[in-house]
Amino acid sequence: MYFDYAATTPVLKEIKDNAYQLLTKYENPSSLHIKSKEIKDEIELARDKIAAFLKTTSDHIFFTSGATESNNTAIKGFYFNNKEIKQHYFTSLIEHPSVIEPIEYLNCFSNFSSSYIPLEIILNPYELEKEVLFKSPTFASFMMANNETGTIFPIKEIASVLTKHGTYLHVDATQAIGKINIDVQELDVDALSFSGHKIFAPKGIGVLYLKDPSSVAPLIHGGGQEKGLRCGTENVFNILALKIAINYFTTHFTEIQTHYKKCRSRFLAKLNTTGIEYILNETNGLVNILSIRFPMKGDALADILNFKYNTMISVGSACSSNKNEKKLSHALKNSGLMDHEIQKTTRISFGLETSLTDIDNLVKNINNVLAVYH
Amino acid sequence: MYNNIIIENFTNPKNTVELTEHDFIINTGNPVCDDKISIWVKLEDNKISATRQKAYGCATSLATASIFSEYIKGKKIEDFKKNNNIEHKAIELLGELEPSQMHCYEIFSELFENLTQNITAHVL
Repeated sequence: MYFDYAATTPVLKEIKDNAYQLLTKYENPSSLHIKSKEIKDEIELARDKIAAFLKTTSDHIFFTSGATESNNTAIKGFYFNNKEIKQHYFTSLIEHPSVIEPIEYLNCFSNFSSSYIPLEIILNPYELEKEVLFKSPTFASFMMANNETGTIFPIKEIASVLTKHGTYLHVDATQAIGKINIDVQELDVDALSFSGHKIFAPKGIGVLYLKDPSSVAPLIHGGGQEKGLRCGTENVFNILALKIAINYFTTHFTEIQTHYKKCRSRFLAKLNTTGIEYILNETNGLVNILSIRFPMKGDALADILNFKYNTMISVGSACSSNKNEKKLSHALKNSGLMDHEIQKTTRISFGLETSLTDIDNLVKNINNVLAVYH
Repeated sequence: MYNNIIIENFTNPKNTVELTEHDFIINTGNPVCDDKISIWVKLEDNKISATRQKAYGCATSLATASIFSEYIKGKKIEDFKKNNNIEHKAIELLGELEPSQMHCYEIFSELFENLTQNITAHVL
């Protein structure tokens, strides 16, 4: 039983059913053959579909290999596009490494500096504005929802503060996609990233939305694909598969959210009937993610569930007795949790294929483990 | 990942049932990773007649508690007068561990040392 949908999702049945047919489209979309033109048209239809899902138009949508590349392109591409001027970036310590690491990389340039903004400031528009006035950031990158806790960030409020002072805002929406209705125009963000494998598309496809496509310099140069922003022969199969996934989420968005809510309610209701002691790290986060502490180490609970019950959940830390190698989640640490709380934290995430019976069995398995070890 | 001995012992831990009576409890732990192990020991007829273990920690620590409690069960009191070469015994009984799990060899040895001290105090 799989409860790690926040890490990745299985490929949608509709994609698997069409996989063979999609794989027969081998012609190069940039060639002049009739078939190539047809494939190129299909890619543009996919782009239209994704643009509509984000409430924008297709000239703002760029395909990449995943959210890591989208984040890198926005973060480094903005710097390279403006490298003649002094740059200061804002981000937070709960961001994904694909945001933190490119910013850390840019710190090697003499005209670049960055600040990690504490959560309590990000979440307080008045305090955030004070910080913006004090440090005059040129660029900020904040996630829409955290991958470990599910915490949702008020991007619209953050954007209104940043855009007022001319700060470019990039949003990593990788965990939020498919769970929060995203309207890039209403949010008024400058750039937004996500990957397909969090919404039941295959791994290896990502999207970068750019309000102004000329705001970032390309990282990959070549034959001019993606209007020169991301060169390389298009990953036709993955782009068309992503279109199927986006189409599914467009059509079924409300019922998917209802399903996630049912899963969450059922899990908590079942837990409450067992008398298992637990603490939720976040009560108002993404509906399909539970960051939850039980009275035993999270990695031990996850390992026993995996090896004994073939049940997969995720954890916030891995055991290490070496204090220099303590592998505690940076996101949980910077969300204000103490070390001993992080060690007990597990992440349980639900998806389209999670059934209520699976949830009942998960609770039963957790109860069985805790009966022995607590 | 884990060797088969460790997997067997954290998925099916031995000696988890409470003892009706015991002579002493030995405790050890690792303050850095916060692992804790307690072993309840019952002595009878010059040997360890029963044990119970309870552990808080990573899966390898949980398995170590199970393996240790099983290893000492039935051990004669006089055996504690000998050199038990416990470091080698730990490696033999826990099997090959990954670097992040190796602190469990030390936990095993500490438990044995603690046990020997208690037996000396109680019987020898």
